[in-house]
Amino acid sequence: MSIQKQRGSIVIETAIILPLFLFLVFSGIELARGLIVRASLNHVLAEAAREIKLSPIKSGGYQAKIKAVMNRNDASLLDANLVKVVKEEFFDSPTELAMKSGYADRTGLVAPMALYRVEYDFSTLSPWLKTLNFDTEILVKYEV
Amino acid sequence: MKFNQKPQIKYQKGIVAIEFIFVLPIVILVILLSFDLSRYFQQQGQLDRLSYSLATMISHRQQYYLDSITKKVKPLDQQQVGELAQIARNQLNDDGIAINVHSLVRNVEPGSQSRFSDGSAQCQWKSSSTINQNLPVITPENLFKEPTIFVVELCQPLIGFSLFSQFSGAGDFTKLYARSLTVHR
Repeated sequence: MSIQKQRGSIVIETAIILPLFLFLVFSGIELARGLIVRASLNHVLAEAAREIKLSPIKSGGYQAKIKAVMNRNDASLLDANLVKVVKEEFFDSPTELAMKSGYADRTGLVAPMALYRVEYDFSTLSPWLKTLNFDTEILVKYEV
Repeated sequence: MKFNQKPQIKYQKGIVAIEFIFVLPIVILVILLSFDLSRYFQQQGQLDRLSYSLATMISHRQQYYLDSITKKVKPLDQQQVGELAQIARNQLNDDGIAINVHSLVRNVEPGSQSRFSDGSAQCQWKSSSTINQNLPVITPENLFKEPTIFVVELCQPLIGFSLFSQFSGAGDFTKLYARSLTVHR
């Protein structure tokens, strides 16, 4: 009698627990993937910043430089087409930078510094997250 | 051999749920700890990059801190360090950021050193004199080739409950710290 009552109980319990378990497992995978993407992105941005500060690139050149760095180095899990420079602002002194009074273009600046905001959106494997968005700001002191 | 399955099955009722209840807190803890750690890594990376940017800025001081009358480069002062602190706070959207800048001028006899700070967090790695002592000794023939050395330290206080500090035993894990050393260009 008791065997008949328990028939299928493990299946039912598994059916209840499995979604929660899969949620945890996929969240862990997304976390790991997100960490790799962020680490790769930081590396690529730093590399691009080192290159751009030694080049006389005019305004708007940072996005192209990031893509060039990505295409040269096989950065893990990164898609060069998903990188967007959403803001660029130029400053001629630390005082201007501290006061947040910048220029849209570096033309005419004696010792330009640039503040770039970069966004990277990518779709996840988990249906509950859909997309992850990374944005970061990078400050570049031009040497040329 | 014949087994009597009846009593075993009887006691297995709800076993998956019970085992899962034991495992669930550990799994959740591991995931939360991973999120916690990833947040620190991200913040630490930002702080490292920023300290490098500020050090670069201060090392190019002939472009930014020229005295308009004498046309000589101004020495490091509190106003300059205050500006750097403001830049760091703007960048990280955190008013709790503290900065500490050491200036070690070794190409004069005797060498001079100074330190300026901004912000309330305790943010000092070593005293200026200790840093100076740990640098290689300058030989007399290189004395006048020796540029001024700047050390920029940044501290970002950690606010809120930290799983990492609880489980790592790091009771004084209350702030993130980054340091960059540069020379006067």
